[in-house]
Amino acid sequence: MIGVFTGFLLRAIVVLIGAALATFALLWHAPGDPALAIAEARYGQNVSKEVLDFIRSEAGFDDGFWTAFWAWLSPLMLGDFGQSSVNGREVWPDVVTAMSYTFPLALVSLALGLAVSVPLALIATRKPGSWLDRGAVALASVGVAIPAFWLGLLLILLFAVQLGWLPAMGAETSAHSILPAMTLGFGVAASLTRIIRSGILEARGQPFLPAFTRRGVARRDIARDHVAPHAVVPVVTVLGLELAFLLEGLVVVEVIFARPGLGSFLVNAIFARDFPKVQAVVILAAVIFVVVNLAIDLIYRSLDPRVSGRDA
Amino acid sequence: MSFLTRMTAVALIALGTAMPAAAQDATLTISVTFGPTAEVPDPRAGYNGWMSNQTGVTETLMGVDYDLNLYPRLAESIEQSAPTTWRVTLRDGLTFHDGSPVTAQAVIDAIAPISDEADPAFNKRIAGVLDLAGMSADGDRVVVFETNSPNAAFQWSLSDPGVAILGAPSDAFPINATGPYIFREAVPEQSYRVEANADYRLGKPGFDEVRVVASPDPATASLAFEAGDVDMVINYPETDFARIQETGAQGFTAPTARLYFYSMNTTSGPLANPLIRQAVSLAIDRDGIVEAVLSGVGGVPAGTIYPADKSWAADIAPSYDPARAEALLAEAGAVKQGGTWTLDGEPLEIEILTYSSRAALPPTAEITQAFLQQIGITASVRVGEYGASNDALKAGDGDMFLQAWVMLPQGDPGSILGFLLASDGGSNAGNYVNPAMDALLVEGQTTFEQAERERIYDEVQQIIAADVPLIPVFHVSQAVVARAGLTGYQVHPTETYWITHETRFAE
Repeated sequence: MIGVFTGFLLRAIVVLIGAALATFALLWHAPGDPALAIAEARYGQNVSKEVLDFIRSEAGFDDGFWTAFWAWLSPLMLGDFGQSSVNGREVWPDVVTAMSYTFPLALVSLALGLAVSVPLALIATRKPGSWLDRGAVALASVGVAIPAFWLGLLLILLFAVQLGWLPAMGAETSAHSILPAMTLGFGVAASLTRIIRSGILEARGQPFLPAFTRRGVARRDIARDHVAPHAVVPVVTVLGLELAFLLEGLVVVEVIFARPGLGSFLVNAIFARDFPKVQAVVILAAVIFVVVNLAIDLIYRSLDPRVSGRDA
Repeated sequence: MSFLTRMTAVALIALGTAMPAAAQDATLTISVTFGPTAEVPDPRAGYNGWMSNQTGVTETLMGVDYDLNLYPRLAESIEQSAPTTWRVTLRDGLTFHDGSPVTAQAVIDAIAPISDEADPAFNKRIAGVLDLAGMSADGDRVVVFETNSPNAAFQWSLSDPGVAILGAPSDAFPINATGPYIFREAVPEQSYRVEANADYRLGKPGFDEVRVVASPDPATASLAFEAGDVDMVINYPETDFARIQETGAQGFTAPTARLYFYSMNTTSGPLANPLIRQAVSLAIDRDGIVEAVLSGVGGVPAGTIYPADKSWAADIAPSYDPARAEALLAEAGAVKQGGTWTLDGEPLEIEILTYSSRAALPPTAEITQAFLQQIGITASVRVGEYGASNDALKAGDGDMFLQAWVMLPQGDPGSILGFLLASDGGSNAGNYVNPAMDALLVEGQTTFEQAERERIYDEVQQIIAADVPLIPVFHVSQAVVARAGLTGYQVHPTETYWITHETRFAE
């Protein structure tokens, strides 16, 4: 196990440094003058050459790529994410605030997706090919095809404008989270329903299952002890991927529902070429993915002993 | 009552209490596309001053009226006692929100941090615009400003929302200003809340409370308005402007000083020839662009760089004359073969550059492309990032660059024209060089008599029309929608003023 964690730690360091360097390089070498973007975001209008020179000097753009990268990286190694190039605020507290909006919404959406997809897939696979099964597959296909921005507007139109039950935008109360969670959760549910359904059908087709039946093992025990562990492996993989899709979907949902959060934080920072903010979110996202990957790896090992055996 | 019914009732009550309060006449909720940058956004830093000025929290020494004329606001008068010396006399009896008097020393204490790099209120842009050598108080009511060099635009720069006059902050008044509304709280990127200043010198404000909520997507803002979550939407989607008014909502629109214009490559390619630049200008149907891109309500065709009939605008109407455009192309030596113009044996090709951070830019460029192709000019559009497009035109890699700028950010034309058109202007992407223009721009900065300045900038606009280093396309009209009965509101051409103490819902 120690070897597993050592390997994980080394891979994590490589991923984090790689992500930080690649992002910094992309922002640095993207066409156009980053000082212009920062100036427009900071002052809301076009500015003089003197102001642009000031911003270049302040942001360290005059000192070359590696000096600027090191100027950002060295305080980070001491836990300091620096200050925003646009408004001078400490980056980390603002990232934490953004996370406080994003993560609960992402988790609720994921939970909503699971709460819908698991029963739906179970119902659908009771009689494969039945109208219930076909309906679940159709719903899943539609759910995957509908873009979040369109579904979000439709939900606002129905629940806020027509029925007046829920607020259209903002993030002030728990009621403000219902429509965004439904928007994201619908996509998650659609995607998971397909995977869980396929997983269950595939597990049920395993050649050893009839032997259990012939020995008189109860159907419920077969399902719990032999079908479920097989079916859950692809679901675990997809849950990890869903987290990535959720973070991506949050960018759209946060704009549609006028919510603060990591998505809008990152988009605004990219447009403003706010290096410290973009880098902070990228590092955070990389850490999340590394941790999620580790979690999935460990879950695999507990579900399938053959994976641990391969390491030995 | 069954368990399920009871649970449903409880859920609905809980949901109802969590919903925002319905719109009331004593409160105003405004939806805008951007939110505050901090919990207490210092009006002098960044462009925080816009929101504090727009919501009536802060005031400036000078103001700009709805016709773009300068007027004394907190100042009673302003006079120039020497080329670099300005004396501002404050109105009598002014007080900050905490009741303390607005003295000359308080004004100095409010403005000095703008130029102090160590202060959180430091603002490099405004410090450059003010260009102060020093300030002093002459008694309680007179502030004497010394500038580093003669600057005719100085009095206009005192109207910049960032030059807000603030008293000492406290927990009760973190932004201790002088306006009809008192700052109460801000949630970064989300909302900004102010309350009435019952002691405001010009009368009691029309609302007890004003809330500004940020909605980056105009479509969501329009739905929130229909749902009754907000009372007013600034920058309402133009495509829905006519329909929403049919539901009983009030619509407001007026041209602003934000101009969509083309910077022309004046040193290389076909547009180095002024005749071809004129032809291109005449080939663009500005009415058609406003109709197609802005549904006829989001803009006003521009003949010159300032909105028609407002201060500084020369009497130049937009002109669309494809026949004259073709005549000018022939005069420039171009030849039409098979419906397409050639120049020096090569197809006459024009590449239009623009960026996408303002939604109307790419379609405007595409319709311009169509108008040019209509008279036989081969045109293409390249959409990139702002800085990249700017750099490309500067390097001669492209012919026309469509941009959007506020042409009178402080109400004075001097600084922006210098950036765009002076030979050494920092944003002269088309590399325009015209000694007559340079002389006029310097003269404009150092001439203090208003009528003479108007003559100078009129001449600048005549040169732009004749030599075409820029092609004005349209001035953006800000579309605003409000609940029926809103009075005392109109769209301001600088976009930096929203509500006054007189803005209210009619009884």
